[in-house]
Amino acid sequence: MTNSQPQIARRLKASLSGTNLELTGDYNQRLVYQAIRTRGPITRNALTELTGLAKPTIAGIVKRLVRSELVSETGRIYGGRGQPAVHLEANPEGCYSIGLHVDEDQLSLIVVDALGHPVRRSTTRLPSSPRTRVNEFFQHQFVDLTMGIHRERIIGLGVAMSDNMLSGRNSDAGTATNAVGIDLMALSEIARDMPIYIDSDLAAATAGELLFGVGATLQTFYFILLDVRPVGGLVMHQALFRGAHPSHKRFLFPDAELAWCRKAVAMEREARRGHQAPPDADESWVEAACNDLLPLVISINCLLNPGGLLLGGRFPQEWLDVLAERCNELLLERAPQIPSHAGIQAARLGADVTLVGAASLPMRARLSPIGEALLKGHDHGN
Amino acid sequence: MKPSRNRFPFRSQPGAADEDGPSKSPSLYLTLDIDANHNQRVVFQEIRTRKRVTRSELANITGLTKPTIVNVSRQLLQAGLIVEAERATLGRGQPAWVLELNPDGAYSVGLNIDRDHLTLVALDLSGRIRGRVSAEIGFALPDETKSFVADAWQSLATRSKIPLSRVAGLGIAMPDDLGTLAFPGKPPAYSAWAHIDVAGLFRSTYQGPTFVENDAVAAAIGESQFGHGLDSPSFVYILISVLLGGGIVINRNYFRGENGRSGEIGFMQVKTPAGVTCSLQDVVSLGALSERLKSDGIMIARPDDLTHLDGSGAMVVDEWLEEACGYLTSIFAQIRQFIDPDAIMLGGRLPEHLLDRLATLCQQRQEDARSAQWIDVRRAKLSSDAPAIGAAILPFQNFLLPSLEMLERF
Repeated sequence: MTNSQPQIARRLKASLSGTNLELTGDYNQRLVYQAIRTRGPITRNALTELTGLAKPTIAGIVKRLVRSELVSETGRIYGGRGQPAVHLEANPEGCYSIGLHVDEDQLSLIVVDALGHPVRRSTTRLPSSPRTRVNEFFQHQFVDLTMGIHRERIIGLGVAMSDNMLSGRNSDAGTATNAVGIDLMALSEIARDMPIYIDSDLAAATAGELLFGVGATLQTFYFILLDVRPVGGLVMHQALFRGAHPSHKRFLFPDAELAWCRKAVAMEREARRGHQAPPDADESWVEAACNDLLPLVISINCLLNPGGLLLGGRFPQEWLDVLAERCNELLLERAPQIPSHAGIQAARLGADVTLVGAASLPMRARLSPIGEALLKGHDHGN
Repeated sequence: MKPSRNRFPFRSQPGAADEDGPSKSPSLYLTLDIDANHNQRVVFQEIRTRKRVTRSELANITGLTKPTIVNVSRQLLQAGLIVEAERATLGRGQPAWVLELNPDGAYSVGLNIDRDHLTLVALDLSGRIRGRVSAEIGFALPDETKSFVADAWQSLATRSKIPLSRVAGLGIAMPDDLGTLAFPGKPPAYSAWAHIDVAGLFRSTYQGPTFVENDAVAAAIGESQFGHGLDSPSFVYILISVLLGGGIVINRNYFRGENGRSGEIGFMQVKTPAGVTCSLQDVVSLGALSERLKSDGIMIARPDDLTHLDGSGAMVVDEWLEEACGYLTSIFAQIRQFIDPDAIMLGGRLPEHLLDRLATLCQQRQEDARSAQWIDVRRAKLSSDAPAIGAAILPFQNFLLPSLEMLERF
């Protein structure tokens, strides 16, 4: 019985359901907020042109957004005749979101503002001791990090964890715990009255990059989440395509853990602990990484013709940049005959992509013009 | 190449002005505005795929209100796309009316131009083939193609008895770079295809809406709307013809990629047993197979010849199937890692029994490897004439079926 639910949802989405006015209204509000956030400062007239919505609709929505302080009115443009136009901008303090990244051996917590800028953060190694300590950490840090932020301004808690842990949760529905020992019920106790959104690390990373990174400017892209065992996914129509088996983790290199991945992850972590810059990537590392990545990059280009290929994950940012640059060169050199060559670049959120991505899950669900917002039964967070 | 206005190509009944539309004056065409258009497509799709359905069921399924359903179904009835049939009463009260697709409500014609043949099919609204004309012509030039279409069109009316006034459009499916890509035996004149306006080529025969599409893309779109795609919302279609092409359907929508060059699976790289890296289509395609037969002194004039081979020829085919399966499973494993579709569909000019064997071999090899990367491989429902049928579905897709692409056009 429990299996039929996702299938219905999937079918609804796949067949494009009809929509009604009420939901469209909410969708339009999301659309306008996103336009202001990404294009601001912007006038009401420019918004009308950009969204294709009627002027009175824009006026009504903007009024609501300004009243709720998500949007502020700023500098007027003088010079022309008549009354100068008012410009609108997203208010960074309009809302906050909290992200929790549950990794295999560490926990990170972050608070970001409405524009995705990290406000406060903390990280701890995951204790192997009972999960009460994890809950304690979360409780302390949560209180610490959110101190001074108006509770009503926090729109939710996003949790990113690897797919394996997610499926663990499903199989153990009664107690809602998992291998790592995060007690999700306890989370909701601590983060009281706050919607919680849980997703895979890849889904969180792509959501973050779509909202606050390079992804916002690309129609389609393929995202490679680099980690000890890299995973990847196609992003189209502003969403990650999860595939036919969303609960199975698909490794890009299914046969082995790769030494170059392990090394980069270790370097990033060491540097972060010691609060120092990581060393430059050495040539042999770049070579090993490119040798493994390039065949993948060629295949992805042939198969999907994405608008871009993003590299993100817990590698040192400079290493990601070097890797992207070298892959670009080698792709043109070794496979000039294939029909398309997407630009490879490091994700803007780089090593923080999953953590900031986790924080972007509530924003995406409640503020972004996503297709689901047009469907009945979706959370419209009022 | 696509018509700029999205007009409903069917006259509404005389005097029956569209009461729900924004237009005041009764127009010759039922012009649909944006929202109504999308809702009409959604409702039509449900009636088509569910066979028989009542208005209240439609309201439940689509999430649209009952009055909307009533309006939309009236418009569809007026256009003759659906019919009403009374359901046998079971419980108390007045029996509900059931809505059904009207197969003769519209027809569509699809043309497949390829290096080794020309095929033209006519479909009715249910996707059934109502007329088919095919010719094995090597490297048909634009003029030859034009006269082929003119003759075939005549035979649709005379032999297949298709009312040409109800043809919704013409779809044309052809490989990318037909005129420019180097190919063994290609005459110099064939490069004419590179400069010609294909959509305008057949104006003397048919003046209605015309759509041009890549052959594998057309096949994949056809499969998604009228083939196994109804059970598998996301799949990769592999078209094994003279060369090898592919198409990607995600959540029932065709995925084009950034510049419409997605699904170029023929260019994906494989390693031969000798350790040489080459493109998949160099080793897995009808062209590769007939080259191999040729080196054994066996000549193939048409794909059908592959079904009537003698012992030694059959052995060459068997060997090739084994090898092709090896290459394909390595590609399928990658596709599974990258996007994990519900299924892989095999289609194209390779004869059906060979496609079936290839699909079975691929399934077996995956089972033997006991790999966690298992993926469902099967022969496409629309396999042999897939590009032509898919081409014929393009007009339906553009005028009647719901898609994100259509929503985004506005």
